[in-house]
Amino acid sequence: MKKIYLIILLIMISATSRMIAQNSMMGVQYSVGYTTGDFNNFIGKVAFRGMELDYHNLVTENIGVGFEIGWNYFWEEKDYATYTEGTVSLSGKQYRYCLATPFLASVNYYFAPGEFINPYLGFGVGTQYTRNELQIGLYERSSDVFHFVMKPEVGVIINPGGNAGIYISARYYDALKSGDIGKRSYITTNIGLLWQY
Amino acid sequence: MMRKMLRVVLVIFIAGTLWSCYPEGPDYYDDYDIVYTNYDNNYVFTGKPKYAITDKIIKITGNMDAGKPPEYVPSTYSTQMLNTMKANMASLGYSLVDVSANPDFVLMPSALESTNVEYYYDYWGYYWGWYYPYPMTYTYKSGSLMMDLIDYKDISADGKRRVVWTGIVNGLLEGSSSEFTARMNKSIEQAFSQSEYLRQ
Repeated sequence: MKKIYLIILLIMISATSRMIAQNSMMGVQYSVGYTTGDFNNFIGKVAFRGMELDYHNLVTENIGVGFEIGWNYFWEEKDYATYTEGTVSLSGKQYRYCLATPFLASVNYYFAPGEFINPYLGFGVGTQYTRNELQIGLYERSSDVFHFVMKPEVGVIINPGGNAGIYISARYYDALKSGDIGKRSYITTNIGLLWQY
Repeated sequence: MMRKMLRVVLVIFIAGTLWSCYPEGPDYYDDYDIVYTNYDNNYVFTGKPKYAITDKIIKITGNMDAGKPPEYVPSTYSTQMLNTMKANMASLGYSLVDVSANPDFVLMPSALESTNVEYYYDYWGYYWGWYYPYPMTYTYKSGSLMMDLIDYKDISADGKRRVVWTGIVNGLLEGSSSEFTARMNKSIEQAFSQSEYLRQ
């Protein structure tokens, strides 16, 4: 696992070092997150707080290699309920929080570079830091973990001309189980601004 | 151009990230109220309908000196709480008797109060080396009401009686006295309603 992270880090550093080169793209997006699977059992509510930051260097006209960092803040207030395990019963309101922060190396394939509508497919791999918190009453339990994560992405760049454009994307972060914490996988829909230079 | 663009991207990203720091969570005092119950799984509660209860709620102060009388919760609060316990025991099929009538159980309530002090940690200062020259703290009071049900007739060789059920109500000791009493009563009722195995 450490080797994979090292390779990802090298790709990110390599991509960053070429930022002065032409034919690069940098963008920032507002992100909405939707939990899936195990994660949805922990928090079922849509997360309206999230940001993505992307950088890609165009190694060919159609292929961009780079990295992304971002975060989505999930939280949910559960109704007052009684939880029973064995002879113990506990009643109260639960508050569940999870901050998911992926750091990925990524590759995008652009189908129509230079066109007004430029759809693309992407794939990323890396790590995702998550901070999980469960609060009931005055008591709180938290854990911090790193997950291995893979991310397919589909999106479109709308380029009205010039260097700036709008890009819309959907991403699926498949964050594998890590330690005692189950999968923290989620889908995001994103919209933001992209600069090409 | 590139620097300007980079600056814009970073400003948007950092502004959005700071937005994530806005806390979400409990809004009202009763959002912090919890009720815990536990019992002896091997114990049979049925067929033992008589119980006694203390007429005061003892305060656990943690510094009880020999010969010094214990402190009690003021009757303005304890009377209502004790009445709620009695009403719930009655609805579960128990009859209240005096302790001299050799009851099956004795219900013993006690209370614990604590003042919590929280510090504002200067997170940025931790990284950048500045600090508050004056204390930055806030305090809140929290408390627990503990209800122990003991089998009055089951005495061990060393003269101790067995606790067969425990209910603990925990929350903030904040708000007006009427709000506080209403919250306490609601939580006491919850402790009994989630302990249906006590029913006669």
